[in-house]
Amino acid sequence: MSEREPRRTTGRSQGRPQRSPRTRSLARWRQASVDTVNAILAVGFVVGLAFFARPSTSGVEMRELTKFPSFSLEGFLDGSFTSDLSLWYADTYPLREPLVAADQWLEARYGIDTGTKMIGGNVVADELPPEGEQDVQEPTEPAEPEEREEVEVPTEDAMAADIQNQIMNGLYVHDGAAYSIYYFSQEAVQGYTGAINACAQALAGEAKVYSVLAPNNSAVLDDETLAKLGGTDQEQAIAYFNSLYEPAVGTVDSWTAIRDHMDEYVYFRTDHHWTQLGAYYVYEALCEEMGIEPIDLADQETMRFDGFLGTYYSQIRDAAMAANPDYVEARVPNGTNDMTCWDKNGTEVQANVITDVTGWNQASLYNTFIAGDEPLEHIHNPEKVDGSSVLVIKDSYGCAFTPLLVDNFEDVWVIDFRYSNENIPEFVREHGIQNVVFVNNISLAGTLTVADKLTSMM
Amino acid sequence: MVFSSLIFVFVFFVIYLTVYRLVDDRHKNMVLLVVSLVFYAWGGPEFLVLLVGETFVSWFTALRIGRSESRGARRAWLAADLVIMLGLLAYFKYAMWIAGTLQGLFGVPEAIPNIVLPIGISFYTFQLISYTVDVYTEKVAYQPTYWKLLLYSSLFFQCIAGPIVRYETVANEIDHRSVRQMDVYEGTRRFCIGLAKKAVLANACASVADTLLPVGTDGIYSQVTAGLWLGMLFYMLQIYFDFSAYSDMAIGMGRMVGFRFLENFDYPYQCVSVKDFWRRWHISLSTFFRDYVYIPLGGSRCSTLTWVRNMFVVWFLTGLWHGASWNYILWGLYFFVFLLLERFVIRDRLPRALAHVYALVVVYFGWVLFKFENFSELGSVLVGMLGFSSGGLMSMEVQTLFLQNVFLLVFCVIACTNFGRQVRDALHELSRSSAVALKIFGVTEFLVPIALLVVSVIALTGASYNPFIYFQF
Repeated sequence: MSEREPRRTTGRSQGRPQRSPRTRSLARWRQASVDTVNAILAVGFVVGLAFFARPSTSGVEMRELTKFPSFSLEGFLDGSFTSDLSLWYADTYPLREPLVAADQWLEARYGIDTGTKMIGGNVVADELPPEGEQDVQEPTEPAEPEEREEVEVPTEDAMAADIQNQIMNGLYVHDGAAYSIYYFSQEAVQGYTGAINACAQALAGEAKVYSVLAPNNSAVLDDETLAKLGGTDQEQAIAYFNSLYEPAVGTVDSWTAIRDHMDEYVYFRTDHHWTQLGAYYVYEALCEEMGIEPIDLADQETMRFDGFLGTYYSQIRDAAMAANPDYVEARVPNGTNDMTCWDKNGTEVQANVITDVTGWNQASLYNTFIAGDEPLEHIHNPEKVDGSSVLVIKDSYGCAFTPLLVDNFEDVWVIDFRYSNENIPEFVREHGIQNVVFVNNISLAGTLTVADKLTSMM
Repeated sequence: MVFSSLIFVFVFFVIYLTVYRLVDDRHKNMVLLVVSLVFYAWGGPEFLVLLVGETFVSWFTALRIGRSESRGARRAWLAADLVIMLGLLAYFKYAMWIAGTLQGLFGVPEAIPNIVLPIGISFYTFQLISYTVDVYTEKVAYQPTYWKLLLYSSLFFQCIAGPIVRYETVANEIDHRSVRQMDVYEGTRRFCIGLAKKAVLANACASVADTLLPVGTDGIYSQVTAGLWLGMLFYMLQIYFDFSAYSDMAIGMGRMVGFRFLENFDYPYQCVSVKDFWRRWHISLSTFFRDYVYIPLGGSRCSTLTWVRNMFVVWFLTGLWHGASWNYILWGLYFFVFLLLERFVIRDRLPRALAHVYALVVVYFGWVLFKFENFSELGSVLVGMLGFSSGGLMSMEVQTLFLQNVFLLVFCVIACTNFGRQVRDALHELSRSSAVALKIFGVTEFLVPIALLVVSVIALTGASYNPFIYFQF
């Protein structure tokens, strides 16, 4: 650039015609504006440098934030390193939480929030075939079963994305409560039931296998609303799941168990899980199937945690939910409240069956049950000395369910299949376990990745 | 790197502005060049070779053209430049599509090469072509210094997303540019307007459009009629805000340091004909095709048949430039048909209000062709929009999305017009005669860039909100 380029003027340069007061006034406002913009940018820069203040997890979003990317020459050259760096910078920005809250406040002003709304729901479910029928092929088609290609064990991220999609695609929101609609997938259901059948076959004569499917919380909606929302009839779907099991697998009519108490507090309104009361009614049905006496809830100590705003709230930030949060009631088993768990690194940790979560993040109160989701957990009940044992293979619905089993068995083992690679039949034999109970949500059981993961563990 | 990211706004931009302002005037261009190369390399340094190489080819051929007395030699150097530049563009942008089309028709080639599209290649290639051609036609003098031409082609303001800045626009400003206080203010203001248009409006419209038009999934086939119409409306707004925002930011950043780029958008949705739309939409591309294709082919000073051919070529190429897929060509030729209609049938005879509605409807359906590369999806959407959707006419999801975004929609429609500019002009005029108006005008001049920047930063951070509901960390 030539040296003739004038420097930025300040309004006081000599040789220029005298400016009018009006022009000077506007110039001052504009200069102040530029200075303020520069100041905001400078503050943003300095705050971004505060590495120590960068969060690594988000309690509200229930996830680990993006990690600083590891450098590789290949990643640098193809741009993935810098792309990840940009993502990390934004995801862990020190002022992120208040800025995110401000953005959500702003977005709430984009329109009118009615009490009743639908989020997603443009999903085409498979047709539900008659009970017991595996395929929906036309009879005229060649009878060659369409074999699925050999599948790889899905990664945690793939399963998470699949499950998130299942739970959140088709959300009916009404009066501060959200309800997840169930969409049936033939292939996934066959995969899920096939994995449990394989488990029952492998353990024939050694352990009894049970399947408990937790309905989605739309189970508490009336028939008319359910018909209006579309999706797949959960009652028929659960009956269809159960019809695909071999006789060796014990099943539970969880739909009726819940539906008979639909006016009670059996599901949260701001979270997709069932309450422990909802889990209890299905537990009663399981006890009947197992031929054991269910515990009486009145006999157990109850802990209550108020102000719970769960996963639905995290997702949609509905103001009516915030105004009327849920509460979590947890019953402490009489036999013991102690348990051992092994975290994702394999480290042994002593924990409680029911943890006092008073003062925890409002989104985390469901973690009162069996310390949240861990790969492997063991509860030994010293009050029982009959050698009875049960293995619960579960998703997060199993968390509220498992404590109910503690007073019925001497040993309760828990595997969260999403984080574990245990071979289930071998694990059962190794620990001399007599009962295996699969407790999973119907939407989760309807995803291909879950079916593939369970199959890989048999 | 994209302008609408926190790392750009709070790291890259701050460091660039600080260093640029601190260094001596003689070194400002070198700072701009280094910063531009770093900016480009952020998306993958391997493609920097292509940018640097293409610029070298253009610099060298233009040098030969400029120093050659022989007409034949000048033509040969120009031809060499065009073959190399268009060849590289064809290879990187269109080879996969051509191979795929041939494979579909004839079964060969067996394997389709996987070629990654270098960022901004369509923009900087056209810039460099315009430079060489302009040197050939003696519209501009050749640039003897290679790195200054590299500064022109790589200038991060416009390198990856336009506008297609002609060399003649900046030739003088590369060496001699002046910056007044008003330039800094207007540049800052324009940058903030662009950032807000992208971070707030375009991204919000994209969110609604993507929800209602889930391309590549079964959902697109079952979306209800109202959902398709509403989704396309938000897409129409998104594409304008998205694209014009990048031009705003480029023009703003340029002005802050003394470059005066030409306008690239002139409120295109205020058009009264298709011809008018293309005078207002992506002006730098329209004028490129006008000056380097249409006029060399004979323009309109020829027989009707030749004119039709010229128009066909221009609109075929306009479509093709936008993407390597048949739908973009269809989109270009769709406008070609309406331009013929306007010339031979409509002939400016529509009343203004009706003409505006006509033009918007044509543009709206044009975006339907533009959005769907998959012809099965395109057909399903068009049929669905006519009321034959398998999902029905209306759903609760569409009602919800409409209500939740109704104010956004109204705001976006207003923001597409020159209403804001008119208000500013009116206040400006009033401030000449009223002290109160002067104060109000001063305060708005002060607040607008600041408010837009703050809202943009909030929106950019909010975009990272991604609750992971099922798995606990």
